[in-house]
Order: sequence, then C-alpha cells, then structure tokens
Amino acid sequence: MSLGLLFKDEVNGFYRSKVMIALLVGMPVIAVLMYLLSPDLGGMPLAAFTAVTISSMAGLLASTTLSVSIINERTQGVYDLFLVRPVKRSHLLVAKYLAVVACVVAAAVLALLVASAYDWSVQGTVYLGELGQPTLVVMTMACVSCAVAVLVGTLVRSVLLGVILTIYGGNQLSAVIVLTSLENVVSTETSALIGLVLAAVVLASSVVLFSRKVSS
Amino acid sequence: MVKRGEQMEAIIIEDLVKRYGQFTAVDRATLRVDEGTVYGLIGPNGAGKSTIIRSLLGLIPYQGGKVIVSGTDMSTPDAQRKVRVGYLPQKAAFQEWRTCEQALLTLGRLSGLEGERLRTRVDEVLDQLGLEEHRKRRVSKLSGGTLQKLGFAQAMLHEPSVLVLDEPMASLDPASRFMFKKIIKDLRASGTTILFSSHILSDVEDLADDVGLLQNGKARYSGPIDGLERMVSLRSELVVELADDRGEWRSVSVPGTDIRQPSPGWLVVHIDDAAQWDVLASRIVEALMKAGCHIRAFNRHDPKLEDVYMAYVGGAK
Ligand SMILES: Nc1ncnc2c1ncn2[C@@H]1O[C@H](COP(=O)(O)OP(=O)(O)O)[C@@H](O)[C@H]1O
Ligand SMILES: [Mg+2]
Repeated sequence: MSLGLLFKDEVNGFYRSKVMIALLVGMPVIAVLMYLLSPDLGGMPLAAFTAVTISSMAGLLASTTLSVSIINERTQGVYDLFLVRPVKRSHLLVAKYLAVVACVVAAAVLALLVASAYDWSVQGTVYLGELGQPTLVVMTMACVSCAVAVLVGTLVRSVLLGVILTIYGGNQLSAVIVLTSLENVVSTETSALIGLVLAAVVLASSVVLFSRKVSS
Repeated sequence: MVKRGEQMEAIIIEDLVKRYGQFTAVDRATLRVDEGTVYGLIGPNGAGKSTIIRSLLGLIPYQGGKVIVSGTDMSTPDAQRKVRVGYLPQKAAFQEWRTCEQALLTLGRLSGLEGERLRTRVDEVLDQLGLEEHRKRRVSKLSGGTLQKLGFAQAMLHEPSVLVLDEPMASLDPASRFMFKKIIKDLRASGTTILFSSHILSDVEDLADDVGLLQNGKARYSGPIDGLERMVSLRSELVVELADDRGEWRSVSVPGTDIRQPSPGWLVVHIDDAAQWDVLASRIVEALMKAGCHIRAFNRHDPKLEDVYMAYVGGAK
C-alpha cells in the first residue's frame, strides 16, 4: 500500500527533475544530431541507431541521478519523516528504483517511437521487429545500473564517491552483461535474464543493508 | 494539571546505551515521561539529546537498555502502525521538488489520513503555523524558519498521541517561538504527550512539567522542575545591601554560614544547610546589625533553573 503511494510520488519527483527533461528531449535530439552528423552508418535506420545511443546514455544518467538523490536524501534526513510513519524501509528504496527504471524505459520507448516515425516518413517502412532487441538491451542496462546505484546510495555518504562508484560499478557491470549478447555469447533474452536476476540480487542486498540501518 | 501518580508512562527510556564506534554518545540514560505531560530534555550541544530521540523513534540502532513508547518498542516491525508518533527533527528536510502542500499531503497519506479528512488537516496545520502563503511554494525556496514550521506542521498533522520535538525553537525568531510555545501548550491541553529537547532554559521553564538534564550522554537528573529547584535551594543565598560599608561585617561569624563580598556595598551569605535557613538568616542579620553594619536591604536569592543548569552541566564548558 505504501509502496504504490511512494512509487507514484517518486515518479512525480523524478518527472519534475531536470534529468527527465534530458531523457525526454535530450536523448532524441542527440540521437538525431549524431545520426545526421555521422557520415558512414551504412544505411542504418534512425530507430536502430537511437537504440544504441540511448542504451549508453539513459542508464548512465538515470543511475547517477538515482544514487545522488538517495545519498542526499539519506544524509539530509529526508527519510526520517517517512520512517516514523508506517512505511517499510524496503519500500522507500524499491519505490525509488522502480520509479526511475520506469521513467527511463518510458523515455527510451518514446525516443524509439519518434525515431521510428522518422524512418517511416523517410523510407516508408519501419523495422519494428528489429527494435525488440535494442529495447531489451536498454531495459537490462537500466535495471542493472540503477540497482547498483541504489546499493551505492545506501552505503556511501559522499556524493562524489557515489557518482564514481555508480559510473564504474553500475555502468561497467551492465555493459559487460549486454556485451555478452552483442558478442553473441548468449542470446539477448538470456543476457536480459541474467541482468534482471543480478539487479534483483543487488537490490535485495541494498534493502537488507538499509533495513539493518548500517549506514544511518 | 493532571495529578501525578495516576497516569501511565508514555515514554520509558531505561539504561539506554548508544555507541558510535568507540565513542559512547548515550551512557545508561534513564528517563520517564508521563502520559499527557510535557518533558523538556536539556543539555549542552553534543550531550546526546538527538541521539536519545533518534533511538527512541527506532531511527538508529542502540547497544543496550530499552526504549518504549506507549508500551511499544519502536524498533520492532509494525511499531509505527501501533503508535502514532509525531517527530520534528533538529533539521527537518524534505525532497526539494515538493511544495509545502505536497509534502504534507504525502506524509499525511503515509500516516493513514485520506480524503476530506486529509485536506482539512492540511488546511488546519498550514493555518496554525502561518504557512498559508507558502502553500504552493517549493520546499527548496523556503527560509530556515519556514522550513522549521513545515517540519512542525508534518509532526502534528496526523494528531499523534506522542510528539517528539528535537530543538523545535532553536532557529526561530521571537514571534515564531511564541507561536510554537502556544501550539505546544494547546497540544498538551488536548492530551498529547510531548518530549522536546532544548538548550534554551527559558523554553523549558515555560513549557515543561518535567525535565531531564543530560551531560556527556548521562542523565544527571530526571523529574519535576520544582524538584530540581528544591535540590538546589541547598545553595540558597542571602543577599545584603549595605549603606556606607566600612568593613564592619568582617568581624561577623555565624557557624554554618559563609560571608563574601562580591563588590563594595554588597554581601552574599551562603547558608550551608537550607533546612537551617529560618534560624540562620535572622541570626546573620542580627549579628551584622550588632557589628554596626547599616543594612539598606536584604533578600533571599534562590537559584534559577539557569544556576541549576550551570551547577550541573555548565561547569565543564
Ligand atoms: N552519526 C554519528 N557518528 C558519530 N558520532 C556522532 C553521530 N551523531 C552524533 N554523534 C556524537 O554523539 C554525541 C551526541 O550527539 P547529539 O545526540 O547530536 O547531541 P545533542 O543533540 O545533544 O547536541 C556528540 O558528541 C556527537 O558528536
Ligand atoms: Mg541535537
């Protein structure tokens, strides 16, 4: 019950943050710019190209925002006002995580739709089937890097350290997982599954650590 | 005033021990707060007031002893569902993107308020704290005092039976301080148990039924304010003002007393045993007059809470 409430609230908060503007507006714009400026894409459609740019950017933006906001809110004592009410510690973290992942995925889907619409207008065809894989990749990366961001956010008190750990820990980790599928070691679906399991494990450990008040 | 001895304890803190690493911030502190009373926790900065409060609310783990609010250990799961507590932290913080109204709506909902009742309560507390004009303002744009008011607003929003305020008036201007005191008195009148910490003694004198005196994590005294004052009347003094002081008082000596001259024309007489006051005070005045002192005035000086405080905890600093 409190989870739903907190989730809505966090989506609301993240939606209002400048990061969301960067995701919603910035990502498509950058994708289009890079697409127009890159000389040799071998006739790659914009949608596919967008998927690649997004997957490298969205997770990075979202996860650093997530860890910084958790560190700030934790050290400022924002959570104290929640925790003296009937709110589970785990719900605070899970709501935040789900909200950010949901926002990233929504932004990514939007960017892909816009790009597809562009392809449609230029070429008259859209390769919707080819978008499934990139979308899955974006989602996997977002899930993994955001989970790491939550872990970092619950343990670290310094924002700078938090950002560094999130970038190196979260994004490298998610990149490695995604690479296994890009290099065709395993299928995209399998790597997504591995990613989701890993994200769940990392998130669960954060929740346990946060509940033990290790860092308050 | 509710009669003592008839009510239950709303807050029990017994032998509480809290360490940060090697450092012991709270050292076997024991305090009790009766239901429906106001309890003032006083002590210098770093005495451990906030630490006690945060342990009490289950916000931080502690190493020993027990803390119980309305019969419930707040660090157990579901405690927050059973006991309605309100908490104003020393520095209240809210997510920056919220407006005052949104902050109250969310926290109110999490406390179980909903619908019309929630709206009404939000309106009421905004009005009570004079926050109406800030209703739609972002929290990040508020001044320190206004933020503190918003903190108080969320603490009382859900009409908690126990209200815990950590230095509620430390950063307020006089008008807001007056407003906070009035609200605390009104809440007490409506039956709320209130524990607040402060290093401002006049606040405690104005508001509290009982006080706890904290120094270096140890509870030096816990009980009624008048009890504290009675203990200190051991140190009551007779202050004598002399007209043309030629030092005649030097020859006077009354057993069980000690005469000093802080400045010319003034004598301060300590009476060691307060129980002997009635006998010794008149004996001293008599002796002084016999010695040829011209007494202009004399007065009993009972130490104020401030003197008590200095005697207990102030000496170290
Ligand atoms: N998170 C913490 N880590 C280490 N020491 C702390 C922490 N919080 C408080 N302390 C120390 O514990 C003591 C009591 O602090 P506190 O309860 O905040 O005192 P008060 O509220 O009476 O000013 C202080 O010496 C303070 O430095
Ligand atoms: Mg404090």
